[in-house]
This record gives sequence, structure tokens and C-alpha cells, in this order.
Amino acid sequence: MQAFQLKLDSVRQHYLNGDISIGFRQLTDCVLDTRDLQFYKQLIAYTEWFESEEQSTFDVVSKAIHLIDLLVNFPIEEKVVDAPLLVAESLGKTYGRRKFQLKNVSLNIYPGDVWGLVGENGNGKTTLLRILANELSFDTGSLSVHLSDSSISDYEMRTRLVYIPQRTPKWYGSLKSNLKFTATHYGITGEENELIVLMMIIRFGLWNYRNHQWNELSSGYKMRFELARTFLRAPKILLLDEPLANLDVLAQQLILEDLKSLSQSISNPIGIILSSQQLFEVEKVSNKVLFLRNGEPTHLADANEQSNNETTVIECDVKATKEQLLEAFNQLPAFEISYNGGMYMLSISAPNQMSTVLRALATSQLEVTYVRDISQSTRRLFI
Amino acid sequence: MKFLRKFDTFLLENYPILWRSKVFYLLATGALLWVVFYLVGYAITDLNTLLTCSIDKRYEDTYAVLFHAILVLIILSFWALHFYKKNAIRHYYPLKRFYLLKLFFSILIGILPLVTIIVPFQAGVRAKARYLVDLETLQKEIHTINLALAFLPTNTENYSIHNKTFPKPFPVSDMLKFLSDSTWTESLLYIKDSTGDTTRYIPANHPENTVVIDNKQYQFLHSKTINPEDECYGEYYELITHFYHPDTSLKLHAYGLLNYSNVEYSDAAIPNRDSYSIQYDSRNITKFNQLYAPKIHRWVHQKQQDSIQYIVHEFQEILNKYSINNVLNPQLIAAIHAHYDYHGNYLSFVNTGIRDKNDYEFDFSVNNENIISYLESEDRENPFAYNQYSLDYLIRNSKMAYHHEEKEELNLAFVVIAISLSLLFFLFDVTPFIQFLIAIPAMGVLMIALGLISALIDYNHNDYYFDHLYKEEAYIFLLFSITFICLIVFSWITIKYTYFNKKLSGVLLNMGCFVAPVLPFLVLLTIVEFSRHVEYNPCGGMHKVYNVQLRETLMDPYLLVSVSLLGALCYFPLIRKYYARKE
Repeated sequence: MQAFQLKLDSVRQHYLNGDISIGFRQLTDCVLDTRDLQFYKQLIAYTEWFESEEQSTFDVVSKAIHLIDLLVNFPIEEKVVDAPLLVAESLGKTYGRRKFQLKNVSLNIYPGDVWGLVGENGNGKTTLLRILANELSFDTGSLSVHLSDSSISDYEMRTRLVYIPQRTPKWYGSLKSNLKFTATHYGITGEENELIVLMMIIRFGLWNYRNHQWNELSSGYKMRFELARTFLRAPKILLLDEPLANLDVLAQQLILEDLKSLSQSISNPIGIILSSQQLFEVEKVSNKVLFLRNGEPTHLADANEQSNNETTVIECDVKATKEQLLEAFNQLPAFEISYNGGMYMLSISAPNQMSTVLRALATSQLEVTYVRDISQSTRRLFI
Repeated sequence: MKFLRKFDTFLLENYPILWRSKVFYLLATGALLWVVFYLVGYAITDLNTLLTCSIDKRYEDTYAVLFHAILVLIILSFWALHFYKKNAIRHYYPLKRFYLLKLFFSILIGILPLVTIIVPFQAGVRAKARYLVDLETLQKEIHTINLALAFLPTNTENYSIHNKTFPKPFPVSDMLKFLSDSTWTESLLYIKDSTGDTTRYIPANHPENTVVIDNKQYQFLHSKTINPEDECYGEYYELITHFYHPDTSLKLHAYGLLNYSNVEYSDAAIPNRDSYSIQYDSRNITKFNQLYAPKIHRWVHQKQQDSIQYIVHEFQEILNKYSINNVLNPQLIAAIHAHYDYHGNYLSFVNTGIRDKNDYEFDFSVNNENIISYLESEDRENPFAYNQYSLDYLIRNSKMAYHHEEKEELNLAFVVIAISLSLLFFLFDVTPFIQFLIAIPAMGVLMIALGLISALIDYNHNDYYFDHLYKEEAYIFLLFSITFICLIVFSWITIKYTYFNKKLSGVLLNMGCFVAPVLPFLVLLTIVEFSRHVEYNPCGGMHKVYNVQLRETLMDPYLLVSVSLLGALCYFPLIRKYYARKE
């Protein structure tokens, strides 16, 4: 079975399970994968129908299933992922008489990759993103971007490498008119313009806000708008600087899921690099996480590769003194415990000790509010 | 509204430049304003307008220019609010071929009708003038007016007799006369004496040139104006070439030389600003002598009171028709002409008559009842009085209304204003905002520096520093040209190489944008100034001699506007390069 059919099955299952929201988003992705205006029209009509008034779940599901049935036999050309989109070798940049240096950053971004860029403030995340976006020059190393056209001007390159800064500029006019303006510049004209813009509006949950102005939208919806605008540009590489800042937890999850899903589009997979302080959320959707400290990559976590950590690092929030904890964990292999003022960090010199720790905490009957195994997470690097 | 929304969406989806520049809305607003200003021009023009002011200045006189400026300011502000809301280049959207060029021209096309509102306004004024005055009728009336004016002196001391002699005895193209005593003893004419020296000519000292007609002395002469470049004099002066002695058998009369018709109107629809008056137009002299002079001669010579009274009455009818103020008394005028010599000083008669009849300058052994009753009446009014200025305005305005000539310089000036405005709006849109603001004072500093250096060049221009050709202007233009070229080249270098700060590059980009349209103009000016040389006259005076053909070719206003526009357009590709440049 092809990837598209598998994806449709997943959508069908979501609908049948009553997970209409996730089902609808994935259905939209499937329709977008078709790049067929007739299907766009059907999805838009479907959205218009169920957004217009309260509909019964049965009707919503049955109409969605009907659309899925129509999509099943649609031929989708799957994009073969083989060559990297962007290759950076030992990039370096020095600011203001060596006050800050970005050093030795190497990375390869393939279609479908989501890279998380983490690190404390002022460690070069934004600098790296701007270098990758061709916005900032670099002093050492090399950077090559492999797009479909072999020779394009610097300006055209900038049109393909989409960089969304942390503070997005204010825009004027209605949300929809701005999206249409973007689409037109990317050669999407006439009826197609209207349909694709509406599809993006639907995809990013902006249907009820399509005629709103900038100052009528919350931060979350502003970011959704930026993403909608960005995806209208059909980018090959998307560079996002702190896209989760100022978003609530739910909005963060939604946007990360959307990014993940869109990066792995069947017909048009893209490479994404995003910087964020929301470590766990980012790690959840990223294939690779790059940790920068003092401008230098100190850790590269690859979700595809098997971890061979010999140490278990556990973060926990317990209402207990350090002595009480030491007593509770006295059965554990060699370990260290530290307190950063809010959390205890437990470092055990053996792999996969989470269950042992949980048992020890349960036995000790200490009041535990939070426990997390951060052995694989870059969170442990912030200690 | 629904149609407008659909149209707007259509433009947004298909023609983003047109949608963004709102060129159709600007054109529609411009068209509306054209109609409104045409109607305003039409509505505010009445007969009184034609009698009291020049219609080609109505735009300034009526403050329409002020309303225009305010309206354009409001419209463009409103437009700019919409225009600057969206921007493709700042978001790094793909720009199609000639995108910036198209954007600039769509702004220009939108702004042009707004700037040229004077055109429909003046058209409205002229249309109303045509409605109020029928040219064919006026042309017929001009014949009556010209005949009547011979009997309506306005100022005896200020008349001109150029070629208006009857019978026609002279080859009189540049004949002068001496009538008053002051002229007779203090003329401003010069003559070469036997030694070849130029001396002032005093007519009283040369009775051999004097001709007596009707007991008054005249000298008829030809002269030419001497250009100071030919001689060592600082001013133009009149040099007598030879005198003319008319044949006494011609029986010349003073009235033949000195008719009082010092204002005459051409019935010809010559589209020339000055053609309403023929007194300085030699083309009409023949016509005057053929058409009017015989009649005037006959009426005066034969003392035909009825004819004089009739023609003055007809003239009065015309004045009344156009509501031109007058207190003409045709009967009295005819009586005066019949009783006194035609060349008599009528104004003096009127004035002294009003004071006291015993002070009459002339022999007033009057037996005409009309004259006596006039002189004896207590509330006398000048029987010759009419509002000459109103008549002048009426005829001049009518001719302008019917034979309007487009003023190319004015139209070009509006095009230049529209281009400048468009360029300003365009640059504000496509160049970085902060750097745009910084570039303004930076440009000011540069201009002050260049101004100071120019002053230094001008102050120090002498043989030591430069040459004998006094080319300080050429050097100043060269200085400006080279500076501007350097500025543009440096701007290009900072865009090309990331070694320089991008903000500096942005400021230079803006400064380059400011000077790019001026540079071609300066270069042409420099070429013209360098192509000229200096010539010295025998008296040591110096004047500049230009290569006329080159100057006329290079300083052609259309060429200057075109090359300036081209200069600006050639600079546009740098804007895209600037945005693509890394920091």
C-alpha cells in the first residue's frame, strides 16, 4: 500500500474514532497532496458546511469518509527523498572583535527533516538561522543550497529560503488579502489563487479569522498566519526562529504537529529548522536536535539513531530534602543528585533506570509532582 | 460595491502590481477630479471674468491651485496608506521581470491625472468663454471698434504713430518722430559724425532735417539698434542711419500721422498672445492703412459728424452688450471732432474743461451747442471715457478661448512633478525606511559640502587655477557629476561586497536613488559648458559663446526629462541586489 493510502487510512480511523479535529487536519494535508483543484473545492465546501452551523457528528464523519473514498484512488506522485537540500560545513561567524563567535557548525538537511535548534539565549541560534537563510554572511566554512534550479540569483535564492523571525512584522489589510497577495507573487493566479489560499486558511485553522486584521488576532493565530503565508510560498527549506514563543501549550503542540505533518508531505516534503526553548515539544517532533553552547554545537541528537547512553538522567520534582532522596535511592547503582533550586537532577551510571527510580519513589512514599527521563533530551545539557 | 470588490479581487489574483498601486482607483479619482475641475472652471467664469482678468491665469487667481494641492495631498495620503500596506520586495517575494519598473510606471500613471488638474480647469474656463463670446461676431465688431478708437484718445502723450500715416508716403518701417519739446532737445538717439565718432543727436540743432506739417515740426529718420557686443558700450542704443524728407506736394496732415487710435485690435485669429494689439505688429499695418485709414481720413477731412457719431455709437453699443463701463457721448465726440483739429489734445480739453472753461488750452470760440452745454454743465463726465482694460481683456481672453495654444513648458513641468512624486513614493516603498530617512540629511550635508567647494571654485576662478576660458561653471558641474558618479559607484560596491555594513549600503542606495535622475542632466550640462568658449570684444569685454547646435540639442527639455527618467530607471536593478545582499 502506498504512503498516501496509508495516510488516508489513518485519517479515516481518526474520524471513525471521533478525533475529528486531527482527522480534519490530516484530511486537509491529503487534499493538499493531490494538488487537484476539484478536491480543493470539495474540501472548501465541506469546511464551509460544517463551519456554518452546528452539524451532527454523524454527518461530519460521513461526509469526510465520502471525501476520503474519493481520494483513495487519486494517483499521487511520491517525492523521492535522496539528496540534501542544504549542506553546511564548519560554518563560523565572528561578531564585534570576537565578542561572540559561532563556530564549526555542520549540518545536512534533507526533505522531510525537522531540525530542532536549542541552546540558551545568546548562543547563536538566531545567527545560525540567519546564515542558513542567506541573510547573514559567514566568515568560515561553506554553505550550499540545492534547489531544483541550478543557477538562480541571490534574490531568487532568498525567495526560496523562507526565514520567519521571532518577531514577525505587522501586516495590514485582511488576513485573506495578505495570503492572496503572497500567492499571486508566487505565480498562483485566478481561481487557483482563491482555492489555494482558502486551503491554507483551512489547514492552519484560520477559517473563522480569514477576514480579520492583524490586531484582531492572538499571537497563536498570527503565527498560524505566518505559517500559512510561508507554505503558500512552497518553500523547500523553512527556517523558524522561536515560533513557539508567546504561544500557549495547546497552540505550541498544534503548530509543531502541523510543521511535522507538512514537512513530511507526500508530494512536497520540505526541510525545517526551528529554534526554541520548548525542549520537550521540539524534541518530540524533530528528527535531529542541535544544541549550541557559546556558539558551538556541543551535542547532536538524532532520533533515527539508537542511543547508546550509559547514563540515565532523571529530572524530578519532589517535596523532599536531598537527604530524604538519597535515602530513597539507596538501592540504585552509583548515582549523583543535584538540586537547581526547582528540580532535582538524578544522574545514574547505568542505562534505562527510569522504572527503578519510579519504584524507589513509590516505596519511599515521597510526594512526587513530576518525573521525567531526560537521558535522551538536550534538557540535561541545561544543567 | 459588489462589482468593485470583484474587480479588486480580480486584480489581486492576477495583477498584483496594479492591485497594489491602485492605479485604476487613482485614474478614476483623477477622471472625477478632471470633470469636477472642468465644471468648476466653467462655473466660475462669467462675463465679468472675461473683462477683468486674463483667463490663462484663472487657475492661480481663483485659488484653484490651492484646492488642487490640498485635494491631491489628501488623495495621495489616503492612497499611500493603502499602498504601503503591502510590499513584495521586503518579504522577498519573487519579482517578475521589470517588476520595479512596472510598479514605478503604474504609480506615475496614477499620479499624472491628479497633478494635471489645471488642464480640465482651464478647458472649462475656455469653454465658458466661448459660450459667452461668439468669435465670428466679435471679429465683425472689431472693425467697428478699430474705427471708433481713432476718435477716442486715451492718452495723447503716449500714442504711437508707427506706420500709421495717411496718405502713405514713407518707407516707414522704423520711422520716429519728434513732437514734444523735451524730445526735440534731449533725444536718446545717436549719430556718427564725419570723423566716425558716435555722438548724441539733438534734433533742434538740425533744422535741415526738419519737416513742418500743420505748423508742427517733425523729423523722419531710420535708425538701428546697436548691440553692445559689437561696440564698446554697455547698453543698447539707437543709431540714426539716415533721414527721410517727404515730398511737400503730398499735402500731409498731422492727423494723418497722429491718429489717436493707439489701441487697435486684430480681427485675425492669430494664436499669439500679443496679437490682440496691432500697434507693434507690422503685419497689420498694411491692413490698417487699407481698411481703416481711408475712412478715418475721409471722416476727419470732410468733418463728417454723422459718420463719427454713428461709429462711436456703434462702439458704445458693443461696450454695452458686453457690460463694459463707459460714459461715451457720441454726439459730443462728433461735435468736438468737427470743431477742432483732429490732432488736438482731447484729453487736455476734457481736463481743462472740467476745471474752468476760461483756461482752455485751445481756441474755444465755440458755437456748437453740444460743446457749450457740456462745458457749462456742472457734473461733466469725460465723453471719451470707457474701460479700455475691460475691452483689452475681453478680446484677448476671447482669442485665448478660441485659439488655445498648449504651453509645452508648463505641461512638461507637470510631467516632471508627477515623475518626481512617483519616484519619491516609489523609493519610500522599495528602499529601507530608516536608511531612507538617514539619506535625506546625509544628502543635505553632501550638497552643502559641494556648494562650499563650488563657491571656492567660483571665488578662485582666475588664470592661475584654471584657464583663460572662465569655465568655472563647467568645473562646478563636473565636480557635481564626478561626485554623483562616485556616490553611485560606491553604492554599487557596498551592495556587491559584504565587507561593508548593510545599513551604510542602504543609506548610499537611497542617496544614489536621489542623484541618479539628476546625474544625466548634470553630465549634459557639463558637456555644454565645456564645449563653449569665451570671446573678447575690442573694448576688453568678454562674452560666452556656446556651440548653439550642441546646446540646443542637449538642453532640449524633452531630452533632459527623458535622460533623467532613464537615469532613475537604470538605478532600479540595484534595489533588488541590495535586498539580496547578505548582512
